Amino acid sequence: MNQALYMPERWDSDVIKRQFPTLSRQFAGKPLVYLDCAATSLRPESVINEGCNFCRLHDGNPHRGMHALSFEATEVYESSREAVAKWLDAPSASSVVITRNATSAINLVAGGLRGELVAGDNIVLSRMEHHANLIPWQQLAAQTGATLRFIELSDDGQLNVNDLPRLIDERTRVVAVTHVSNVLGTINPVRLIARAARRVGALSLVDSAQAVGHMPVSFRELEVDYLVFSAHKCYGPAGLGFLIGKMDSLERLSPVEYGGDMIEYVSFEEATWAEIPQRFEAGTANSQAVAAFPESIRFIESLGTDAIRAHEMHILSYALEKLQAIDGLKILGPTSPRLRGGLVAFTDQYVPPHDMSTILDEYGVAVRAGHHCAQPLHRHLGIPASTRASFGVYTTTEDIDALIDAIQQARQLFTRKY
Amino acid sequence: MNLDALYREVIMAHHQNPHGRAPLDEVNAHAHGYNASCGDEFDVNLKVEDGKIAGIQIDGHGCAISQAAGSMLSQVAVGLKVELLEEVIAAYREMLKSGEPDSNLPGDLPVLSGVSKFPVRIKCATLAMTTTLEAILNFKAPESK
Repeated sequence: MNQALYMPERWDSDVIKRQFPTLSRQFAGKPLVYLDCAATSLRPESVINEGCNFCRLHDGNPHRGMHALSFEATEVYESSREAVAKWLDAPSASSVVITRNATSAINLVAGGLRGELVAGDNIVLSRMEHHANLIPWQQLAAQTGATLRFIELSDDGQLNVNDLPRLIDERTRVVAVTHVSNVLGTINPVRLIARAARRVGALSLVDSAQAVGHMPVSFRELEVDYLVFSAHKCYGPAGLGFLIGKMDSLERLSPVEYGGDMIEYVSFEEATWAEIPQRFEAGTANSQAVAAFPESIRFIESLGTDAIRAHEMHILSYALEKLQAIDGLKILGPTSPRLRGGLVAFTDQYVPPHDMSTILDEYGVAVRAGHHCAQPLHRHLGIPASTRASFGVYTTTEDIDALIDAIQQARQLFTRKY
Repeated sequence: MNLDALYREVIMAHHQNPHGRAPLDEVNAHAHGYNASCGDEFDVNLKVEDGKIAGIQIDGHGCAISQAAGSMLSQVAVGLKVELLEEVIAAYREMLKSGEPDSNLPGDLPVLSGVSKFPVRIKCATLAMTTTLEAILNFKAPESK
């Protein structure tokens, strides 16, 4: 494999690493090797500072006051919404709903559609969904009498799109798939799936939690009705997510949370709803996180999403090559880096995932072990769990070398005869 | 390195050749245990006679720590009065909290005290025990499900 093919022209890992305070920490006497970006990415200093700055100086409640601080907080809040809309090619700022995370955004859509589905309808998902894009639909199906259908996987962990015409029919009301699998790494043909949904008048949702910040993402180009993602997986603060929707698709959602700021006229007996997006934003938001997120966008754009994607592919191809060379280690998902996002999950013939993670941690290498919130997928693959290394802008080939060395240590411990 | 305290030779020997897997001729209580955070899984079958554990099968899959703990428990449980097994498990859990090896614990169980240095692994080291306790409960009040 030609690794140079994926290497971006100008990429200064030292400069990038220095922007992440967490990476200055030492574990096991060595600088932290953080390979758990798919669980949560680290935050650059500028993002942390921006959140603190909001708390120090502008800490009013957005949309809830006539005084200067509340006015400033509202401006910060709304400019963050605008920044997201512009960044991801949303139809307008109003089509960006601020949520707690990607999970709450999917719940907002699934719960919001409860009045639209009836018994006999179906919802099409895939076998590779994170619990976040599975359980809300299970609940919607249970409440409405709709059934769930699943797009099957090919042997190398890609979606069997040839099955779409059979699965998506005139009773399909929603098609919801992940953009990039958090286990297999597979990048899915989202636009193709969205078009198949639209052809029968079904709504489409993409869970872009593992895509945004890691590759170029355009809501318009994906042609979906709804896109969700979490800020904390793309160098932003935790407790913040977004739902982007086409306006007419957002209009079809009934609110699922009720209370302050989502209303227009309220009597003791009833209420009318505010306009979109406020209609879906009941209660005070995590305004500190909202204020900080534009800095995450600035950080990502200072590198460029094309360059980030090229960097992650470079790291990924290096990691795949090294991992494939270990006999008895099995990589989940497609083997070509072009088909994958920047993460790789694997099983090992000798070292169970949880032990692997503990041993790697002792060598200062942070990975994730378990089912990564995808129990049914793991069961479908016939494995109880896997170990996952996931990459970000700060990941270097030296980090991958440290990973491989630590895996070899775990191997030594587990292949000895006791 | 802490790893030496965790992956002791005795533990690895249990992991590589676990005890207590053989099916029982008669079963009068069962429980299934699952660790949702990592996928470790156990099925515990008990044969209880005259208030004593006459047979135990602890079968499952998962990490070395969970499997070794299940293997060790199966070795010491047979012949114990049910109440005594419950006490052993309570003392074992106490040991994992304190980190002090409890030499009063039977068999190889004291060796697992090193797990206390790895708080995220305590669930692994106790899954076989909590599943066994559930099986005992099911024996006392048979599953109505």
